[in-house]
Amino acid sequence: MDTRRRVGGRGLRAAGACLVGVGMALGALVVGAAPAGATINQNSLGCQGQAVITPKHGAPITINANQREAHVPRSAAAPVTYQGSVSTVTHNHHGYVAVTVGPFKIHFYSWSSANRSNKTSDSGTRAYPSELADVPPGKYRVTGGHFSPQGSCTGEMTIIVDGSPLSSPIGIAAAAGTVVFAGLVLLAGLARAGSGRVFS
Amino acid sequence: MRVRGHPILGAVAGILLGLFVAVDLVMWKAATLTTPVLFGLPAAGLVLGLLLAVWAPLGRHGR
Repeated sequence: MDTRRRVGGRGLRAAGACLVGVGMALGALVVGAAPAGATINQNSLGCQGQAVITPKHGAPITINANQREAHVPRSAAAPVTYQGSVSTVTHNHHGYVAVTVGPFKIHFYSWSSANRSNKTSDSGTRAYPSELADVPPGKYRVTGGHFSPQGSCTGEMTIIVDGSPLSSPIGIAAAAGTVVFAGLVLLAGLARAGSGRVFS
Repeated sequence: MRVRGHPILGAVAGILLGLFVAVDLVMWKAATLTTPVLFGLPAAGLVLGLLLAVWAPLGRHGR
């Protein structure tokens, strides 16, 4: 399934504010001021932003770009509201949000724009990404960045997708696989009859 | 080197055990799927499987 999306058009993406979609939560990491302990690695544009997710149960969740870690539900009761800004107008910019799996980065959200209207901020609502319903509960490393000739901001955040590990087929398969292969490893340690085979 | 157990089974099962443990750690929210977790655990599983196969501490009695 290709979940990569491309945002086109309206100028506000310019601001890098445009970390919408899953990005509201995940993307917020890209736009953010960088106080001590923040997840923003580099922020020459003065990026900042936040998103509010309304889960089906419980109070709304506000995620700021400078958070180190954020809990996100697998589905939401309402569209996500977001806002973001940069202190420097950027043109011909582009950006991405990606999840890190081992040495790989899987880009699931990206954008680019000329920003001819010179916008430095953006806000609005966006549908909560339905893809998240298929993501197994767990801890994921998400990185993102907004790049332009005028500067860039990059950051990272740990996203915790809430839910029981055994509530998804992958979780059940992983638990079963661990038990099965642990058993097979033990079986490998079973001495064979007349064992004395020599490996060179 | 004397191998008393099942080294091929130990190697394959050890690698897969490491992979499944890595997925378990992520899903139980104990770790993120970073490079050391993704590659380190299968490597550790491989070593564990081979060591167990070489040592073969189980089922020696009465053989």
